[in-house]
Amino acid sequence: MTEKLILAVRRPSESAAVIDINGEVDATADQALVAAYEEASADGVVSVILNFTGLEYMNSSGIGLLVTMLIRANRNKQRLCAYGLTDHYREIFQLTRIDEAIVVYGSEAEALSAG
Amino acid sequence: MTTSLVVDRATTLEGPSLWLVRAGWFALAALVTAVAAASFDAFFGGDLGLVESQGALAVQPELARQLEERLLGAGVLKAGQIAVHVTGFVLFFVTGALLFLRKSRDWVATLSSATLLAAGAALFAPSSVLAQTRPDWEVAVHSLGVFDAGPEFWRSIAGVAIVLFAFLFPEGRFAAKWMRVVAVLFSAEVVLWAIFPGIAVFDVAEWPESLQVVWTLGLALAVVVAQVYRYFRVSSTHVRSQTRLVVISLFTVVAVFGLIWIIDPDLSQNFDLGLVVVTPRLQAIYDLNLLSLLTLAVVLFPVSIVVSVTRYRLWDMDLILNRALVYGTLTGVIGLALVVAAVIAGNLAESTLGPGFGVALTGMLMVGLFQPLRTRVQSQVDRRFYRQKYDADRTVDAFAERIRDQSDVAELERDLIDVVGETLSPSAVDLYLELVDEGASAEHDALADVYLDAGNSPIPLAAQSHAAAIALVTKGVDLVVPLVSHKELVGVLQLGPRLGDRAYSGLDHQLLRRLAESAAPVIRYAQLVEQQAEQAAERQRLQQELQLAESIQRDLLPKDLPQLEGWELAAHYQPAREVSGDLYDFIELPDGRWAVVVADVSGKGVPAAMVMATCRSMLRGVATASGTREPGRVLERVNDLLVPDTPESMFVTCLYAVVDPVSGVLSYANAGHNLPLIWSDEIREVKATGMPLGLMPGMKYEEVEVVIQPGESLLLYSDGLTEAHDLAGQMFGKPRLMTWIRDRRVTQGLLGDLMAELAEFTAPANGLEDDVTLVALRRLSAATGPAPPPGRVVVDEFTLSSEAGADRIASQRVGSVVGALIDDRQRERLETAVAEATLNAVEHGNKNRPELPVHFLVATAPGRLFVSITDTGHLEEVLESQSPDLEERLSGERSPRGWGLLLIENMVDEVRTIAGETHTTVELVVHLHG
Repeated sequence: MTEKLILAVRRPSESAAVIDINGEVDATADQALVAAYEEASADGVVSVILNFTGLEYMNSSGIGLLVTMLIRANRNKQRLCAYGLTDHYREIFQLTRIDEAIVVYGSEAEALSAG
Repeated sequence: MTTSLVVDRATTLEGPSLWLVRAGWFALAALVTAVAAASFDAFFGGDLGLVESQGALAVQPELARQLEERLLGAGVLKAGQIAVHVTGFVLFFVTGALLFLRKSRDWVATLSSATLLAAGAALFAPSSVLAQTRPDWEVAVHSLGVFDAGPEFWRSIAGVAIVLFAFLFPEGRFAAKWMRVVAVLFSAEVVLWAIFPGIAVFDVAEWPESLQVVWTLGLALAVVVAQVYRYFRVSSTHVRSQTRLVVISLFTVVAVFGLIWIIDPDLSQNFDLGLVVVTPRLQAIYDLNLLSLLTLAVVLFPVSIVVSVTRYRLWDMDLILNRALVYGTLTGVIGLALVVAAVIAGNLAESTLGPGFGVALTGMLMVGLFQPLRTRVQSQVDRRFYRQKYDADRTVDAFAERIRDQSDVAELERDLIDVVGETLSPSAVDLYLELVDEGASAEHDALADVYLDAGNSPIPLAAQSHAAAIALVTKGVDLVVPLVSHKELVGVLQLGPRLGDRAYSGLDHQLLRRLAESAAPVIRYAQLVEQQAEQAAERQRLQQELQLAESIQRDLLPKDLPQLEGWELAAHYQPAREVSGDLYDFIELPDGRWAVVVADVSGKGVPAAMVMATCRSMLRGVATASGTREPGRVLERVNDLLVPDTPESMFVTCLYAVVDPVSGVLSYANAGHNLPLIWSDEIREVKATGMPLGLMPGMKYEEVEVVIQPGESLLLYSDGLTEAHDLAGQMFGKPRLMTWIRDRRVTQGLLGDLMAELAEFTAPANGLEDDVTLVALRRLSAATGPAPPPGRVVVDEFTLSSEAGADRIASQRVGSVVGALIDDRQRERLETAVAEATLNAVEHGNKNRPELPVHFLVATAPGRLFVSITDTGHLEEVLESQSPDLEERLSGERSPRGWGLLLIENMVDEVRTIAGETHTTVELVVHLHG
């Protein structure tokens, strides 16, 4: 399973962390996403940025996991945002209105500056 | 089959007794001749003014006077008297002499002859005239006997001869005990009287009147009753037909004599009742008629014997002499009767119409009636007694005509034997028919070549030196007539010696040859017809049995395929002949699994079918027995049971599989059978080793387990499929089978199409060389539901198990197959819709049970692209897409589910949900542009 999805956490600034998502996000991504979020949200991070540039596939279960992550972020008073989505997944974000809670930016720089 | 005519010849004499009997006959003949000569001498030489002659036949003086005076002249009366005496005596004497000449070896014939001689003299030789005129002849005359009504007659030679004849004719035995008693009493009386002539007790003439009557009538009665009794109680039909006339004549003679003796024909003395005026003329007519009647009755006696003898060939008299005798007698009798009648009529005419008329009328009657009457009677006699005799042409023609349309062999046989028996009088006739009596006679078989050479000509066996011919002669066969048609021996007619002393004449041979020539082809043809009818009936019977066997065997095969949820089963069974050695079966096991069996008995036809039936029972028995559920064990047990019950040259190959319908686990073992094929996208053969059943005991069978995945199919087959040949002699073969199955994407109707493919391969005219049995199982991925509506073209069809990742696999596969039909954006959206629909199917429809299938069907129609996703769930309520109320979700009040349907609805142009009892299908529709 781990081959299908590779997550990497970066800290481009004091207040922001980036989770690079490479591969497929579906129900099996649960543990990995939780672990990545824990790692990303350590000491003083206020913005968690999801990098979807490497996304190969995401289904509604995967979106469900993002919602779960969003709930945690809200509890931790963190901001969750995203960039690197294809038009197709942007549409899906819009359709599911998840884009109302997870702001989607065009690039990492945009996301960082907004934070 | 043989049919025979056999005559009892037990009365033949040999050696001294023969010579003694012959000597006795000669002595009697000498006595008869002497008495007759002397009598006729006295008769002609004496004064015949008043003609008084012999006993009861004597013309009473009064009658003679009346006749002379009133009716006839003295000359006519005298001539009539002489005619009666001479004709009567000659008739009896010649008949008796001829009988003796022809048959003196047979003592019954000699007795008959002696009776005729003595009776003839007693009746017709005017010996009473002799006794009166020359006293030295008296003893001789009375010893021979004078046939007068009275007790003394019975102790004369003629009387004794008649009594013996009546008791013994024709078999030469007493027919009943009482006859023996009567004969002994009678003989004792005669012998005692002869030895002690002076003692009154032994002399019937000295007895009281009443005793004399009893004695006379009693013996007369005994004579008649003996013959009548024999006729009705003892004789066979054959003998009865011989003696009928003799019985009648004996009865008539005795009855007439008895009548005359009792009523004493003197009307003027006894019957003057005052009512009838008895004139001398009336008395004369009465007396004359009585006399005529008596003469006729007496003459009947030798005639009856002759007719009996000639008609039934008991004794083979010379034909021409017989005819002359019979015709002569007839002529004499008719002439006599006519003379008497004419004279009476003439006399009556003269007395009423005047002189001259009488003579004229008498002459006219004589001339006018004699010849027609004689001809008529003679032709009657001819027709009755001589018709078939030696009339060879007519016999053969009639026979040929009769049998022309006859096709019943038995009937033909009887007819031929009858004709030969009637015309030739053989002692025995047998007919051996080649086809019917095959091997019935080794002798005839050995002589077959001789027969064929002879054609239809009779072969006298005495002239043959062949051992078989000699053997036949010792069996009493005289002559054989081969029946040959188209240079083929149809049968053999074998004849015993002729009845009578003569051998078969040239005429006989000619007759036999002609009979054989006309009979042989007809019998041959009839035999062939019969044989063919028998063969046809036999074939029909065998065919019916085979049809019955076929229906029994079909009953041994499963009538219906079992219904297994999530599986599709099919079977095809096609015997090469009516019955087959192939077998398939589905056996429900107590644990809910099913055994699937395909077996093939070596060989074909009935023997294979019988082993097949045995094998099926054993498989069923062992499969359902406790403790032997696993395929390897089952085959082991069945093998051990089958070994002693199977002929050495026969064996059974068998593939025995047990399938778990729920898990798809298939465990199987193989006894030398074709290996199963499993396929979905790719096809593979799964192996297992083991020896065929029924060869040797104690064999072990490898047991293998595979899982039939949803969407996968399994084929079990017998080698009649793969080893079928085309016209060029090429085998259908496994590679061709595997390629054909793989290339055929759609699984419905597989077996029917496969048989059609096989039929096309083997060429329609060829038929099947061997039995073909096919059993297919398909694990449904979720049923495809109804087949795609008409007009849709299937692009892809596949099944996935309900496991994580199925959504991704499905979306990718669908994406790849529809790539050419839609643009990338539409494709992406469709992929998402397929993925979401698959997720729903796996999680909701199939409740995440990996063994349950999800089936995909991708199809196109003009302007439309369809993707159907089917799961095995029963949809209780149609899910509605949920509004993406994120707040609720964020607060955890609602699960993230529901987004799937939302996405699906937004990603494709149309979504339809088709809910069934066991399946739910979601159909996605994309509108194609351009």
